[in-house]
Amino acid sequence: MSTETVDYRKPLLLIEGKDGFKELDDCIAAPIEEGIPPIKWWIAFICGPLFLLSLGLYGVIRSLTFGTGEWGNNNPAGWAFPIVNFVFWIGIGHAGTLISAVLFLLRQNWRTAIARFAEAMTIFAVITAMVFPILHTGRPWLAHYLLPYPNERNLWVNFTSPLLWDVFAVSTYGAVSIIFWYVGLVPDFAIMRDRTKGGIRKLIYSLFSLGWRGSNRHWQHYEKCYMILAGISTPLVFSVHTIVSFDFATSVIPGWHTTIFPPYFVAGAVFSGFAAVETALIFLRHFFNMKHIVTMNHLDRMNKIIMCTGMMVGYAYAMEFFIAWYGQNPNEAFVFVNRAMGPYAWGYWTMVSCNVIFPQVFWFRQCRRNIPLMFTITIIVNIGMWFERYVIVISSLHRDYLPSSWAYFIPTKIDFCLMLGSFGLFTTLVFLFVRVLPAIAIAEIKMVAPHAQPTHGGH
Amino acid sequence: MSKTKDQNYWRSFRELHGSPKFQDAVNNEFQQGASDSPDLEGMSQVSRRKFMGLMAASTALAGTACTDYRDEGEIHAINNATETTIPGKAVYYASTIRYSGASYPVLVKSREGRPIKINANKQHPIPGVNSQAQAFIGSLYDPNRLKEPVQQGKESKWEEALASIKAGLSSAQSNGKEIAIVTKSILSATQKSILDSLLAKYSNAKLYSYELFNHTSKETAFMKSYGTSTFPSIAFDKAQVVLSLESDFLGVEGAPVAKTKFIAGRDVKDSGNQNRLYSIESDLSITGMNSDYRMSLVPQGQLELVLSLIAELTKKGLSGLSANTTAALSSFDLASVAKKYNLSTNKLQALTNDLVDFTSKSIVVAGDNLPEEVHVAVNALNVLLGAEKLYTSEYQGKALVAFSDLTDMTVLAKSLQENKVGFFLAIDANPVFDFGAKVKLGEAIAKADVSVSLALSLDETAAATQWALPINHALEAWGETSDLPGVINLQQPLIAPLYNSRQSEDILIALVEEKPYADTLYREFVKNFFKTEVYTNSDSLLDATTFWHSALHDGFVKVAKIVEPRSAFQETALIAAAKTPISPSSEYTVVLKQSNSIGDGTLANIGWLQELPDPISKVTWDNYASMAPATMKKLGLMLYPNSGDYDYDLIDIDINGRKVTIPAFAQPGLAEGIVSICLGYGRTHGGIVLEGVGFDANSLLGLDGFSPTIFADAKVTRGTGTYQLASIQEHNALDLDSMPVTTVGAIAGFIFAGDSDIKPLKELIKDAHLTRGIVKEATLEEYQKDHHVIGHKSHLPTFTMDRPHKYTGVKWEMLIDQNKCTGCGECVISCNVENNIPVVGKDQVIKGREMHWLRIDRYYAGTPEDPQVSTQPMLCQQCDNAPCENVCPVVATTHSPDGINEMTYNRCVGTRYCANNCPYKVRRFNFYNFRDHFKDAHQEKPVFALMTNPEVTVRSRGVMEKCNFCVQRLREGSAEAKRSHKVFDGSGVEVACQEVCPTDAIYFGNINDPKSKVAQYREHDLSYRVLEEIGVRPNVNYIAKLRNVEGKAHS
Repeated sequence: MSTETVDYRKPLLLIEGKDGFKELDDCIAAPIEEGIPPIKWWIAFICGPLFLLSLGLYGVIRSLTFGTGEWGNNNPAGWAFPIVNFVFWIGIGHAGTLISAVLFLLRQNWRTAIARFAEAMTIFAVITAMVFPILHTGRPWLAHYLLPYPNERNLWVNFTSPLLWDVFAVSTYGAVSIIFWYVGLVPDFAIMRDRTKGGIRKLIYSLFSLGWRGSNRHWQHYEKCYMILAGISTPLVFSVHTIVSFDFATSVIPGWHTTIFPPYFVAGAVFSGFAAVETALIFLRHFFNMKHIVTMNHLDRMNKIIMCTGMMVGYAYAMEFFIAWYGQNPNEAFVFVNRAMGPYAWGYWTMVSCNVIFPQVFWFRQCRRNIPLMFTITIIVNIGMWFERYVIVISSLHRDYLPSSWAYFIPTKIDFCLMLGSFGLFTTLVFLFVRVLPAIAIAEIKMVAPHAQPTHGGH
Repeated sequence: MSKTKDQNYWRSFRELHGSPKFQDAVNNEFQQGASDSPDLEGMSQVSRRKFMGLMAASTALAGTACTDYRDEGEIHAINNATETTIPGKAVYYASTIRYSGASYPVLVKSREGRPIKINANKQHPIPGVNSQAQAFIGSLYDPNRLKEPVQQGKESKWEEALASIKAGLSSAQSNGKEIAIVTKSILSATQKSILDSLLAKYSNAKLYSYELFNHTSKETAFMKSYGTSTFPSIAFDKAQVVLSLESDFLGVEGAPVAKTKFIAGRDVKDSGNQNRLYSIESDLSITGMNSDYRMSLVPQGQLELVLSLIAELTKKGLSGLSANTTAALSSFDLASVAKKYNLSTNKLQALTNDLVDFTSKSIVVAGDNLPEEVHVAVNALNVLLGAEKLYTSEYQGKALVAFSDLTDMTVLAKSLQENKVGFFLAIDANPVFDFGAKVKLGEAIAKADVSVSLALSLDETAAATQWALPINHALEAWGETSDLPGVINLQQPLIAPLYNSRQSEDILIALVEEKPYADTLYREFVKNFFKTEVYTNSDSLLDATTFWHSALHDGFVKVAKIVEPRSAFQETALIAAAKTPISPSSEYTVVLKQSNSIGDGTLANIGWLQELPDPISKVTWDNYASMAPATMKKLGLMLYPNSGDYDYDLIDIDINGRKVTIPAFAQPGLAEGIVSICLGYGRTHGGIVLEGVGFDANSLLGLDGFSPTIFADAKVTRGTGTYQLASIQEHNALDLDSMPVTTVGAIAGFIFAGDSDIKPLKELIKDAHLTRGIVKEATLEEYQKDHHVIGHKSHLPTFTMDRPHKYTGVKWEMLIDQNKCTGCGECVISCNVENNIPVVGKDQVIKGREMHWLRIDRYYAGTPEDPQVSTQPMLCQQCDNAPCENVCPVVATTHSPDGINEMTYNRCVGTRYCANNCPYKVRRFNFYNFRDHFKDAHQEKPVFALMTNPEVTVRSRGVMEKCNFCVQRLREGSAEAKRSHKVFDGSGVEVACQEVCPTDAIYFGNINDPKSKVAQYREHDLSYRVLEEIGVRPNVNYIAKLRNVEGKAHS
């Protein structure tokens, strides 16, 4: 597509044209101020997110009415689709905080265009993910038993259980992400308040903008606060998926009981998170005319990260096999040979090809800047990452120590309903988000606009 | 100062003024009641002396009352309980269960008037139960029982039914038509005498007593050989070498006591004295699975084999048969027989050597399904071996009336068709189903003028008769059996009839004696029988009433053993048998057999039995045609279903026009061409559970067989379509060449290992149970050379950061001796009954959600032609360092101070993490409310609630459960000790699986008590623990199996 030569000595433009403050305001606020969205949007919303969401609701109703037996879970595979979905969505939620916090601390200015959207996706992914740990239990109505609150029964929780660590890790991550996101939104709420003529919208934006006037003091406090929150969020990027990986790593089951899991899970999470954010951004920049804000350079950089983390994941795959051989534990060796050649070989090789082989096309600049190709790859990566969790959870459980207990897991229709429903919930939230809040941080993007900074070139 | 005489001193104004109240107070110094004589009228009539007397009397009564409370002739509801009933305390009653031609002396546990569990009566000289006898508890509370008299599908009244029976009998008699009475085997002298008087009263009456699986051929052969049909029971405990020919004496054919006696010769503490079992059979039976040497041979070859063995052993110098006889057998040659049937000469060599070395300590047993001539030949072989010394003076269980067979039934069906039968009566028998659809008994019964079925459920026969009348269940009925040597067993009701049912004997007595019906008629009859026949012939010193009470209490009385004289072996019988033409082997031979799970099919409506996996194939809920993998390949059938689907190819079987379509199942170890099918499946009437289960193979029964249940010349062809079989174990490592390979797996195998046959994976799967050390085994010789052949003991194998908790009080452990475990699965039924384990149904078994807390893992090693089978009961190992406990976020599973891994159901939210992290995969999850989910809430019918053990919580949906060493029994034991001010040392407590094990393979107890068997055996060199290397510190020990396969058998 693009064959232009690049002068790598020049800093890349973060906004390509139409970079006036008003132009940016108008452009970003357009989807919100459009009023009743066009019919095409409605068709897309109903046929996509709402349809999937209703499938999910059907699955939830069936599961709650009849029980977990509606799924394919069986005796060796006590965990299956719901846990796969949970880990998958928690993984998706990783890109947001990484982009907004880690890249912020690393002064990667290009993050500005995509940070808000990525953060929103994080929150929605965490919300989607949190449905599953509750739903997957046999008695979801007793989920509060997992909370350590003083109660009349004098019962306490088990702090040695990784599932309890999960409760804290995920809820902390969710809470911090929401705060971080909201703090970043305050100046934009103010912009929207100022742009809104009146009515209930004005009231809501006013309330959430917390009386922001854009004064020097406001900015000073805001930036300090944002910096601190970025600092708090950064370790969470690593902790959440590390702790989720403990669900598996601290067990005694071959295929789960490995020390490589924490870094492997974090890399995988960033990998899938970036792919998911990129998939959504491709739509966003196309349909809301934001190609000059979310530029090809952004996508190029994200593709590089995808390829890099993909190779980290590939390294982990290879290392698991190496350790299985090196460790000379027959049970562990069996699990990995079984993954590659056994009944779930199709799942394993889907995972490897999607996550390791396909992203290799991003070695080429043309490929990194080819929208249809990168769209395909991001979808493939997320399929691959979903299968990674499938392989970890199910192929390890289905044949563990005693050959007498070996069995094969087959998902049911309800399993698929719940999985598709999770996509429905997530995309519904994204669809609503782009219609009520600025998908790109208006205040921040102005800071990286060319005329916001004194340069040698003029302005 | 002077005082006037009348001067009064007064103490108060009241005194001064002479108040009457004051006067009273002065006269009565003490207050009311303190010194008065007591008011007798106002008090209870019971004096202190009387009160003490009553207390003493009731205490004394408490000890004896249970012996005779029922003999008041009435059964009281629990809300009208006797003074001695203690709510919450189980009461045990001895009784007898009759099933499939044998009687089982049982001890029934009853709680608040409800029988809840059936165990063996261990006081009995011939104790033991089997899975089916245990499952009688389920048939008592079966919601599908017949509840009211039914006439042509409509509810009716007993009075009308009885009038109709009476009229039917007399009109048949006067019209000269036959009165056909069909029963199962008659084991009771009183029942026989009632039927005899019925037959005497109605001269046209004919009795058909039958049993689908019986010892008839064995008995007729014994008659020919010894002049008596009483087959003796065998002293297996004295046998050093046993050769089993097509016999399953360790499985469905054997009495529990035979198993106990045989397995007693496999105690590792006496390893120098291990017995050796050879098995030559067409099917793979429990006996074959437990034999040291096993060969597969079609049944047609058995006669030739036995005769050539006689010839061979005579050549080797065994004498016992006359020269003439041996000369007549000279044409038989073992080597050529071995060649003809492809038998291993090495194994035969070992066999003949052992038989010669152990004369009078070796015995040959032949299967019930073999024809008479084979049994005659086997009797001769036993003469040669001196095995007659192992025949005890006791007889095996024996029916009192000779059996009718298929021929008789065909004749009956014909006379019914020809309208020659005026009255048809089936008493607790289902001939319409049992003899197969080909006999067309069902249609024929309709031709009888009056047809009546006295039945427990509306089975095939009851559905065909005009009247279906409900009879009392075994636990609601009186009875007596005289089929076992030296004892007469008593059966007593434990509960008043749940429905409007009557005891069949009461009805018959009323008919015979023309008395009005009463529910005490038979009880009085039995009582009278005891008084006049049993008591007078016993040497008891008790008076008659006490004798009766003690018999009721014990469940049996010992009587003099009647030893029928046995003549010397008739060699002419052998010569005649040897002249029987040898049947040629046919391409396919159908062997019909009894199911280890559902027995002969009468209990097909009991979900527990249907869901009990077959000990060998591990298939539940269906019957199927087992065939050797080679036979399957020949027919072009798929050996193993692909991962995840349970579809098996259907085959069509045709035996002279009798057809059945049935799924084919690859069973290693079968002789080529053998098609083995269990009977009793494919029933159509009798309950909701049995509907649609299995295929009606009874219809294959015919008169043209090699024996009543073996049919040569069957045509077997590949059918169309597939059928799902619910196996609880995946096929793996069975026939690696035929193991399904996925396309992706094959490509991966090609790329990474150079062959598309995924050899690296197959190598790891092959014998995984042995290579992973899950099952440890050795040969006897290896063990004798090196006692540490299975490895040195290391109870704490791994380095641990924490110091293991010291259990100073009682510490429970279990030990399972794999030398003794035959893999029969009776413990599974006992566990199900004790712990209220729900039936999940076939669809859920296919999904892998069976709820059994205890399962028996079966592994194969060796080749598909000559498999070596290992069984391993697997249950919660109660790990000291339990991986399930630390992962539960809500502390729902915890460790008790006596070492039990306990489940707190109320707290469980059902994360299933514990089940995932269990290396033994013994945790079971309630994916549904299975009671509600299975067959339209069949298990939630109100009557089911009566069956539940009140000591065990009924688990709800979404909760994890697993074995807890029957914690309710352990707590009861410790509470009992506390009440009697003893220190609880764990003795005297039995867990459910242990108490029914026919071979005593399960030991359970406190390891801190050096007297306990567990403590003694766990230190044995052969004891090991499964997956000890993970460091979970399991508490179930296994004793490694010793295979007695090398060198000479030991003496």
